[in-house]
Amino acid sequence: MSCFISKYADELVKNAAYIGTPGKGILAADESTGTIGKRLSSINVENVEENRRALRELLFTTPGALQYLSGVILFEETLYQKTAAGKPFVDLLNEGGVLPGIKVDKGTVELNGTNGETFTQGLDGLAQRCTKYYEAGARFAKWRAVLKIGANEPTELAIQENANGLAMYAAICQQCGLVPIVEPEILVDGSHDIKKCAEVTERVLAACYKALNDHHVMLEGTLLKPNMVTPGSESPKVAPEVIAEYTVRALQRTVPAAVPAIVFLSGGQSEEEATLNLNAMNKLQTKKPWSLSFSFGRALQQSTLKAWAGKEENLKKAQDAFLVRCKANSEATLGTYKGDAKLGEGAAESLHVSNYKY
Amino acid sequence: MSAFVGKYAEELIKNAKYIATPGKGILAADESTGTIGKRLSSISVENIESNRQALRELLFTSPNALSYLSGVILFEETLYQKTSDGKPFVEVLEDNNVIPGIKVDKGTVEIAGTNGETTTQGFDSLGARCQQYYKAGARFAKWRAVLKIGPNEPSELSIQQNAQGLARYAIICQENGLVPIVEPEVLTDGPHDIQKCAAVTETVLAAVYKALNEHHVLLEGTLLKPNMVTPGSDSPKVAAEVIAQYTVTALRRTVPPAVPGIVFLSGGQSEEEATVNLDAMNKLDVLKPWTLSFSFGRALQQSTLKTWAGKKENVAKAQEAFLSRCKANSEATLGKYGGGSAGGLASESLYVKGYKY
Repeated sequence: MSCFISKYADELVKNAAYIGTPGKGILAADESTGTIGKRLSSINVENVEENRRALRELLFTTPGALQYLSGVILFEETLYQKTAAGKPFVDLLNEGGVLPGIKVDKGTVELNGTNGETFTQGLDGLAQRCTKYYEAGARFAKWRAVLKIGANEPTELAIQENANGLAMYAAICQQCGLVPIVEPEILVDGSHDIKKCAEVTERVLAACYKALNDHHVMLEGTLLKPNMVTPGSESPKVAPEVIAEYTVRALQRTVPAAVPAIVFLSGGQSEEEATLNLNAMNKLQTKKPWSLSFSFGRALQQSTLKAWAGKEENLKKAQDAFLVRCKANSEATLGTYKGDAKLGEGAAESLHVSNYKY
Repeated sequence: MSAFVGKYAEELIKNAKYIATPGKGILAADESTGTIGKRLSSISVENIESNRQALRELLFTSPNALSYLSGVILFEETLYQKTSDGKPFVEVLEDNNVIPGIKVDKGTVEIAGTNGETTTQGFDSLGARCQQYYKAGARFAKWRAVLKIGPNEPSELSIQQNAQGLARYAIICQENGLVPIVEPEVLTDGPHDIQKCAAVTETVLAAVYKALNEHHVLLEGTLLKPNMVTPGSDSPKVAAEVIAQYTVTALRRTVPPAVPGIVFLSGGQSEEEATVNLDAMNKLDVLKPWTLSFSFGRALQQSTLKTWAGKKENVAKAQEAFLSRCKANSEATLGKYGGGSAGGLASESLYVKGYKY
């Protein structure tokens, strides 16, 4: 093969395929300490370790929720945390049939000479870190590359640097037994139309898959986490069916069938929007050789956070809200969501933050 | 879209999809005058226009054969030829729901500074030529890029040149209403094993699809004509199932689902080998988002040629031989080939070292 066959090859293929199980998806609970701080402060909760731990325990112990998840992405701190009763989160997830994953990038830095374009850091010592994470129970990883649409963006430089970074990260993960989620997020910020987003997405994804090939990454042991193809945040909205058509077509033109699953980021869409769009894609009658699922952060947790507000007495209400979103998105992966999920407070609220930084 | 959507977009998509109809495939009858000369001389037939016309008439009027074909690739001379009754070949094909195609490249030339690697010519006035061919009834085109496997081959230069050439050819075709068949042939010549062929094929195809994306080619209106993934010609043969496994894996890793059909070249395999390998691929129980079919030249015509031997009295028998190969390959596209259509001639290897069309 042109790909490097890691000693973990069979395991990578098996885990990647499992994450793509129809009816399941990923909870992105890997907010860095800084980012989770913003979430907590929005509900007037102090950003201390205990609160961060309590929030994640709330999510992971929600009765009935784990069956709708095939994976949870964790931040490093969380990988080593336990429930109040002393059970490691990793064990809790494994028992629930959920693979633990780990965010391994170290955020973005600006590309010199560009108009605010970035590349992602985190390659130094990555292999050693991945080995450590594997020992701690992680079986997949995530690395977020960010591109933006502008008058002259994304530039060829930004596309190449980010595609190359993703490919290097992916190759290292596979050598260490972690399925790499490849995330080339094109921000929704801007006044462009959906056609422009489609064009940029196709260009970026083509560059990513060329880079993955160059770096001998085994596609059967990877996942893709792209943006959906939508109008810019300052443009009029369109129907889910339109988003579905443009998104799936962009993927058909760029993502080889060897990739077992595509798990969308929600990128500032409201909880309900994200679910409806995912559902529309799965209803679309067209060639889809990869499963289409979710890897949602804000779009799974928003109403849960609001319901919790940091108070123990709200635990059940918060967990109910979380279960509702998990179930709704599970149905969306099957194209059976009827749009009738009990909308928690804030479920229809846009989660767009301009020029969002994790 | 990043794809160029010109005035022919819908027609291109429709024609590409039709060519990829399960149960059908392509007859590559586009041998240049020089190449068809070699074929004719192998059966002691003089290389003059009337003989070239007679051979193609034999093929295109074979009773029932055309029902197994969705397209025929023609050389320029043939596009304008007629049957002995005066019916244009293009009409014979159209009447039988076979789309006429046209070879538009002008052969290969060596890339200086490489070890015998080549690039393909044919860009001069390509757009104008395509328009002419479209007027004459052609609806798809073919351009053959050639790469070889060696200690230092294919070089990055050769891969880039050939991928860029294919992409440029493809977009010019689409601007002018012709579905481009993208053919990046990795020659079988060499002692390498099947893994090496797989690695090279994947690298080449990844480069080709990157180039097609850069040039805004509408993938839904293209077809791919790749080599099967096999051991080198100087290496021991392997089972059809192994060829199928490596080939389909390579394609799943590189060919986007938007491409409607993949039509393999036979590259020197015997008629029977090519059919059995194609059949094995279609029997493989794995998800394939494009159809897998044939675009065979030698592997469809070899026994037909030998049976004909240039003699009028042999035409009917030759046409039966041709029908037999067409039917066998049709079944292979459905994974339903039962074997046994191999006469002695059908098992004969058609490998020619360093093959030039």
